[in-house]
This record gives sequence, structure tokens and C-alpha cells, in this order.
Amino acid sequence: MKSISDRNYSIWFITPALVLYAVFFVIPNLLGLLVGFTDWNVFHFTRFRFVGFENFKGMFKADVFYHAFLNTMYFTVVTVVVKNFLGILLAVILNRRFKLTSIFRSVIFAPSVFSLMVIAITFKSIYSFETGLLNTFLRTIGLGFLAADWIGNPKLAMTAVCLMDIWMYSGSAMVICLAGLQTIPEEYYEAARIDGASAGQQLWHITIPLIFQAITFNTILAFIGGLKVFGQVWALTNGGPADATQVLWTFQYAAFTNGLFGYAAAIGLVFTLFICVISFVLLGVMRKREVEY
Amino acid sequence: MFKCIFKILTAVLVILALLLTAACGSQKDNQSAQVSSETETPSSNATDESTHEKKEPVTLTLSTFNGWSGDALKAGIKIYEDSTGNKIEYQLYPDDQFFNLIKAKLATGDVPDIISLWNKACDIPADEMEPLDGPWAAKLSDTARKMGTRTSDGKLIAAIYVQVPYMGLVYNKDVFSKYGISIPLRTHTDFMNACETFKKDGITPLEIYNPGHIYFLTLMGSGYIYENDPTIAEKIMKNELKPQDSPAFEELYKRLLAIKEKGYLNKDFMNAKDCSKRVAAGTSAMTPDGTWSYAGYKKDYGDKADTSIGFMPFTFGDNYIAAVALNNGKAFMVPKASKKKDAAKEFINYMLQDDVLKAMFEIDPGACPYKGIDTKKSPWDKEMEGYVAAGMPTTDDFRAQYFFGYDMDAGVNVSEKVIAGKDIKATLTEWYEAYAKVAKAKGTPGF
Repeated sequence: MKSISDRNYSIWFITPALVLYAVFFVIPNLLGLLVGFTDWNVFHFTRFRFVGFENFKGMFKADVFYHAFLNTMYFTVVTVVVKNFLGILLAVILNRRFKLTSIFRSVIFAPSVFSLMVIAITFKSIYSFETGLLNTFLRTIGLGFLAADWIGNPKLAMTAVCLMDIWMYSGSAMVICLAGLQTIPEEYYEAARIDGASAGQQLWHITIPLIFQAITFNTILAFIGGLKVFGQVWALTNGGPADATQVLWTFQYAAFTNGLFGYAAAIGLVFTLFICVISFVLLGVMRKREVEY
Repeated sequence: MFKCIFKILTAVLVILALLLTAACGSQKDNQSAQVSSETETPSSNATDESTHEKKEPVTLTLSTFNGWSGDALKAGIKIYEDSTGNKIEYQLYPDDQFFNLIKAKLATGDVPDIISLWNKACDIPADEMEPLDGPWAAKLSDTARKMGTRTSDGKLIAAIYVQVPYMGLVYNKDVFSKYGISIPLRTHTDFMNACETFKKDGITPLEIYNPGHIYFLTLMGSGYIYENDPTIAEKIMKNELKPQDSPAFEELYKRLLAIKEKGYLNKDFMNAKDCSKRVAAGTSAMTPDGTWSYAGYKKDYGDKADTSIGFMPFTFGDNYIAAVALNNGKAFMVPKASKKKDAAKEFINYMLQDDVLKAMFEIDPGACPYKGIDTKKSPWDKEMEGYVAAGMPTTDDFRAQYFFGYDMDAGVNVSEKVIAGKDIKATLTEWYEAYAKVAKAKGTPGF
């Protein structure tokens, strides 16, 4: 019997994972691509009629689609920027060794492992106009004029959703940045201090460039997560009030729950392509800015 | 290299073949279990316990909305379980997801034994349900029967097991008598005048717990449109008229919006919690609800629910008001693909026996949809029946009354969006596009 060569050995090991990936991801996505061009629906479950681009035309004609697109972009931009900023800030602060550093790191990271539904229910209570923690706190410190109906006011609801997402995932961004910070040799900072660089200059010229890989990673993840946002909106506001928090995937979900599977698949296809294109472009741009000394 | 590729392909094909065999085997097991359960269980028409053959206890799965597993149903099921030895396993789903989930389950065949849904054959894949029959069927009221009958073959597929409630406004009697306002408010003008009176004195005229709640007003108060123009509903169902092109619809939602713009709603109407408490306390005058809530008010406020709190009809019109009675209450259905169809039908026949119905209505009082059964009615039901006895017409909600067999919602709550600030015409257009898509997918003529 021939001995298994190194090359065959690795191929045999990845084959089961490849098969599962093909069966549960690649094939369904390819089928989804085809379903988007049919009128498959729950009312005629076994009938697939090719309808060409009709589903796509219907999607681009719907006013709610454009509203959902704008909301998604707003959510993405706000959460990417703020999560990255907070991630870097928290990582820089907690990179220093002081008492309870580990506890602080754990507490800040913890929300990202909690269940989204639990957090959404908690935030619904926090945002409540009459008895919510946020408004009660504002009234207590004499800022009652700032108390608002955070998820009931169409002008504030999307921002309220963003805040919840930022609270949940800033800790993850912090952990990634922290890992990047800990790879920077201390000698660079010593040399900079000897040359008279201030803390701000050290941050801008040493820290940020050398953790740019981590920032890229955080940005791409946050960007994709932002464009894919669904659970946060659905759990907190369900797209309301008056479509003020309607996003692309709640728009698709509404089509799916109406039993219009072909239409929902078409929507999913367009969004997936959009996310892929934007992600690759962003990755390309950010990769060019990474440095290694 | 080719040998290597051949080996990999062989391995992939073997794994796929194993997966397919496992799936087929599972399906065959399910089919044989269904056949054996069908041949073993006795006739579904038997209702008398003494005629039942002794058989092994079975566990039946019952799927319904999370909010529908109330005390009345639990009491009825307890009687069934104690008597037969069978068990009912609840499968409860979030209220806003269950309906779509069950449609998907019906389409895929992964179904529970019994479903509890609205008594509305037109809203669900009715052909996926088993026809139902039993001694209760002959006693079913004509309206409830019509709602539960599918149009394809005229067979009854839904067995309603709750009261026929009225929709209307829960109101504080003391507040109304303090200002000398007579009940009921027969026109929309009367309603708005009353609201203005309450508002001037610091009493919230109307309590809403979220924008979706205001849909109740449209459900029960828009009948005047269809009474004033009997052709309007037919034109909409044939796609000869779009709601955004109808002045009547625009006027309806302007009247709805005026309630908010004139400050007649509670400040936290987007997300309120204590609506019933405020009405009971008299700090608010009214809240839209149904007589099904009487049990909850009685539990929370005791005798006040009878002495200080009343129930009246509502209208957006100035020349028409009706007592809206919902015949689309909770009903049992049995999916065709259920593995224990006969046992499920026996369960339904048992639950709809007179004594079991009376036991359930003792907890949730109301008018019984079955003729000849005298059940406990709440003071609110009696108040509404008084209006009907005095000549007020009775109808169902506007969807069942004027759009029977037609899915009018399609997931768009126009009232909710308008009250939350969206433009009326844009919302009506969105609504039309949503229900037109569904109608086209169903193959409805005209779309």
C-alpha cells in the first residue's frame, strides 16, 4: 500500500469541510441565484415560472427599497466609524497595565457574546419614554428637556438602533485593536520619546499605522455587518416607526414573510452582489495603507 | 494527479449518496408512521367517551401564537387530558412570526397535529387543511361557518372555540358621566367633540399602546366607506380601483391622523405600557380593544371592570355605525400532512362538546358561536347586545365583511404608518403595491 503523500494528506482533511460548505452554502446560494428569476411563492409552492428581470424591476420600483437603502448606509457609516474610534480608544487605554485591566477588558467585551434578543429587549426598556433608564437619568440630572421617545420618534429611531449596535460590538473592535497594539515593539516608542515626540504624535505616527491591519479587519467586519444589519432592527423596532428603521434585509424579510420567495431571492441576490463589490473595493483601498516597519 | 482527483470525486459522491439515503429513509419512516397512525385510530366522528375503544395515549402537538395560550384554552385542554389520557404538547411562536411560519411549514409538510389560527379559511392555504366534521358542526352559526369554509370545495376546515367578541372602545363610565357625554358616540363628529372636551380638562382622550394598536380603529370604524359606496370593495378586489386614487380612503386616513394632530392620543403612544390602567383610573377616557379583554380587566381591577368601565362601538363615519363582532376568532385546524389526523379530529370534537365549551367560556366569557349553548357573557357583551337590540347593525371587521376571501393586509399596516408620520398617499401606494404583488402571486383575476 502506498503511503499518503503530504499533498494528499491535506486534501483528505479539507474534503469533508469542502463538501459541507458546498452542500450548505455554495449550492443553496447558486439555487437562490436562479430562484431570483422565478415567481416561486407559497401559494404555488411546487411551481417555478421563469419571469426574467421582473422581480428586480419590482424591487427598484418600490419606494421602501430606497428608504431601506439609505437607512442601511446610515447605519453602516455611523457604526463603522464609531466602533472603530471607540475600539482604538479603549484598546490604547486598556493596553496599559493597571489594576483591574483584565476585568475592564472582560466587561467591555462581554456584550458581544450576549444574545441579541436579550439586549434588544433590555434596550427597549432603556429607551422607553416614560419609565426608561435613559430618560429617567436625564430627568434626574436636570436634562429632562433631552428626554425623547428614542424608538418611537422616526427621526431618532435609527440612531437609537446604531447606539445599541455600537454598545454591543465596540468590545470586539477593542479586542482586535488590542491584539494589534501588543505586537508593536516598545523600542519604537522609546526612540520616538528620545526624539521628543508627544503622546499624540506617537499615536498618529506609530500606533495607528502599525495597527492599520487590525483597523482594516475591524472596518471590513463592521462594514459587512452594517450592510447585513437585520437582527438589531428587527428585534428593537421591526422596521418602524413608519419605516424609519427599515433596512435592506428587513425589506427582504417582509417579502419572504408574504410568501414571495422568488422576489425575496432577487432582493437577496442584489444585496449580496452589492456587499461583495463594496467589501472588495474597501479592502483594496485599506490594504494599500497598511505599513510594516 | 488524475488518480488523486478520481479518489476525491469518489469520496464526495459516496458522502452525498449517504446523505441522500439518510434523508429518503427518514421520509419513508414518516410515511409509514402516518399510514399506521391512520389505520390504527378510530373514526373521527365519535364524541361520546363511552363509545371510545381503549387505546394507547397519544401526544398531539398544538401550534399557535404565543399570546393565544390563555387560561381558557389551558382549562379546556386539561379536561381533555384528564379524561382521555392523551397529552397536548404546545408549540408556541412569537405573535408576529407564527402566521408566516405556519404557512412555510404547511408548504414543506413539517406540520404540527393541530393548528390554532384565526377562523378565516381565506387567509391560509386552505387546501392544505383537513375537512372537519362533528356534532358541533351543525350548531355552528352561519357567519362563523362561512368564515371557516374553504371556497375550493365548500368544506369546513376551521372549528372556532372562543367567543365571538365585539371590537370597540373600552371607556371610563365615570369620566363620560362627569362631562355629561352620552354613550355611544354615534358619529365621528361626536367622537372628536368628546375628545376635545376631555383634552381641555387634562384627560387623555384616547390611549394607544403602539402605532399598530391604532389599526383597531380602522378595522372597526371604516365600514361607513363601504356602506356609502357598495361598489368600492369589489372594484379594489378586481384591481379596478387603487386605494391611493380613492378620495374616500384618503379622507379616512386624514380623520385618523387628525386624532393624533389634535393631541388626542397619549404622549407615549409609540410605546406605552399602562393604557388599561390609565383608563381604569380615569386619567384617560378610552382605548380601542375587544370584549375579549374583559377577563384581563376583571382580573386586574375587580368590580371596577363592571361598574366603572364600559364598552361601546366606534366609527369614522358621520352617517353609519355598526357593532363589529369578530367571527374570525381562534379556531382549531388539522393539516392534511399531520401524522395523527384522526386523533387530532377527535381532540377537536372533544373540545367542542357543550360542557367543555362552557368551562372555557366561564373563564373567557362571551357570545358562543354555537347555537343552543348558553354561555356566560360579560357586561361588555351585554352592553353591545343592547345597542344591537336597539337597532344598531352588526358586521364583521371590514376585511371579513367587505373583502371576504381577499388578503387585504399583505404585511402593510397603513394606519400604523400614517400615525407614525408617513405621507398618506405614499402609504396607500405602498399598501397597494404590497397586496397587488400577493394577489398576482396567488393568480387573482385582474392582477
